[in-house]
Amino acid sequence: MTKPIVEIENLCVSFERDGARTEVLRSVDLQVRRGEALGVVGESGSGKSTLFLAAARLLPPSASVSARKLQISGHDVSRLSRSKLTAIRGATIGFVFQDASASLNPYLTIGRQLCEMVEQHRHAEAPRAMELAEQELAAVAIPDPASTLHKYPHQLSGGQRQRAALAMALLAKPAVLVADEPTTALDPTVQAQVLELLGRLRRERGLALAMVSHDLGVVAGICDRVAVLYAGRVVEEAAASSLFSRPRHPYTAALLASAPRLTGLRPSRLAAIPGTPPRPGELPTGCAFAPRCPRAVSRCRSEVPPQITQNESRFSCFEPLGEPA
Amino acid sequence: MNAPLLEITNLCVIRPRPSGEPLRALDRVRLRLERKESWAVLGESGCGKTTLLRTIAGLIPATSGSIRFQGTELIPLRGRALAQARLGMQMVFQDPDASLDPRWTIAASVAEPIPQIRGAERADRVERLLRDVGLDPSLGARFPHELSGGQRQRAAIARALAPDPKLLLLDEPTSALDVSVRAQIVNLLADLSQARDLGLLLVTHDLPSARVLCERALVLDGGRIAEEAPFEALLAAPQSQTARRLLAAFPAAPVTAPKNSVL
Ligand SMILES: Nc1ncnc2c1ncn2[C@@H]1O[C@H](COP(=O)(O)OP(=O)(O)OP(=O)(O)O)[C@@H](O)[C@H]1O
Ligand code: SF4
Ligand SMILES: [Mg+2]
Repeated sequence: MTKPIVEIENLCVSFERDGARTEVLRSVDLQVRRGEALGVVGESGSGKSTLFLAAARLLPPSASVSARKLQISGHDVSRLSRSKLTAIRGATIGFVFQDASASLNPYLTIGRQLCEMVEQHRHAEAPRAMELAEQELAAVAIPDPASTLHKYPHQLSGGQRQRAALAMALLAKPAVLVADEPTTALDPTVQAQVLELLGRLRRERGLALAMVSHDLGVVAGICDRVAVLYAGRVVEEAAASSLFSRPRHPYTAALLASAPRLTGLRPSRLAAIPGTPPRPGELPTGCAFAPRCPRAVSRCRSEVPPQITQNESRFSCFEPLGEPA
Repeated sequence: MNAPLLEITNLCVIRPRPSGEPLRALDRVRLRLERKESWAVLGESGCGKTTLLRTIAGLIPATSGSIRFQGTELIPLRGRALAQARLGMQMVFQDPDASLDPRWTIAASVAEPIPQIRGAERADRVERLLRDVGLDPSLGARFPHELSGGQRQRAAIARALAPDPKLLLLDEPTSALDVSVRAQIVNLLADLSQARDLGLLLVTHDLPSARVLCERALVLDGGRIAEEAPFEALLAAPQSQTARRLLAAFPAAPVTAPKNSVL
């Protein structure tokens, strides 16, 4: 077994708000292995984004982070100094976000920004840097890379901006790329193209990918393994194929049953999980999903279900759904 | 009176461009929406979907053509007459903040379109509207930033319903929402359109939601109609390249209902 690229053990994150602390991640364990694509799914506010921002130590000072282990490609991220961390960050963990403008500077040309990335991480100087930048734009399938180098972010379409942000992250040669809702803001045709591109880059470069999304369809198409987050905890993790065909945790099953589809008879309503997730700081005692869970028994309301590990998968539930056949 | 709810013929919106040909944002678009009917307007980014909705709502001037709403031609109307004719159609945007003033309470925003109703009756009406969209009336006292995204979208729908419209123009009302909140809003719209005999014109790229809400679909490409068909027929046998592309981009089926499903 090769050593995982990302190793997270017992990660807890809380935010200070109006003098009070609210816990948004609670003893999370997670690994991303070499060359693998891990999907992280969950409803809005479940902590998906916070998870990887914490792993890269990119959270604001109002966050307090503790973990037994926080390692990215062998570096102990929790012990590194700020300056060392900044120096290695792009080369260990790269990000693309829903809003590409978050990673692009509106006042600099794409070429200038990409070159800075090359100079910082690959120690190449112009004109070699410009050459590498152009190659990377071609690799992410931007039409006419040479002229794109001279453009500003606002001169690109949404899909092209997302590709440019991706090129920028890739230029640092990250060990793992975190794609946080990378296609949510794009229209479906462009979304399909960007997903196809991510899948291809992964295969060609052996890139490890962590795909964060509330859209199961997006994750299903590209990920080998999936972790399901609910109210700041990983409630289930398994190989994508078994998680989608035989979920064990009732929340995973509910998410799958409510995933919109276009086959079958026309439904008169969309399937929805009843109720809403608990607000951080207002968690029920026992299992956090209990108020919405169709399988809840009285024990679920008093005790937190322990994690059960079986083969390559795990879940936390007192009344799991049937075992895989 | 048997006039259709909304009848559009030969609608063109042409925008001059500094260089080259003027842009035909809408090119001879026609549609006929009967009372209580729901249509989806589909197409890729930039195809003219939002322009169509905004032109109907009067937010963009039409270059030529006709827009009849409940039998009244809207294009020549101005000022009060236009506002009056348009009370029967209300718009809901992707971003609920577009219709909720951040400095106003939710109740004030919901009541704004009905200035003629005052006092206790007004408060009653707002309370009923909030209940109708599944919001606890106590939330009326809050400001938009004190609500979640889903609650804000519900409030925006309550406001649109205030003047008791016959047609809702919906511009990507669920695209910014999480899957489960999205389902709740789509189901709310399905219930409301039933209960209130509403017609819907829904611009979206969210095909499953459009399928629940709409009987017919209009597919636009480059400002023109590429296809118009009953929604189910479009799914089963798309005729145009554009419709085929849209359907192909829908994340294909690794997500099927699990065998041990609980819902
Ligand atoms: N900088 C911050 N300060 C205070 N609270 C925060 C901060 N960032 C996130 N939170 C809170 O932490 C919780 C988890 O947020 P996070 O953004 O990780 O969720 P998410 O699963 O990515 O949701 P979404 O699908 O909406 O992106 C939320 O309750 C959020 O309000
Ligand atoms: S522990 Fe109980 S409440 Fe929680 S998911 Fe399992 S059955 Fe449902
Ligand atoms: Mg997020």
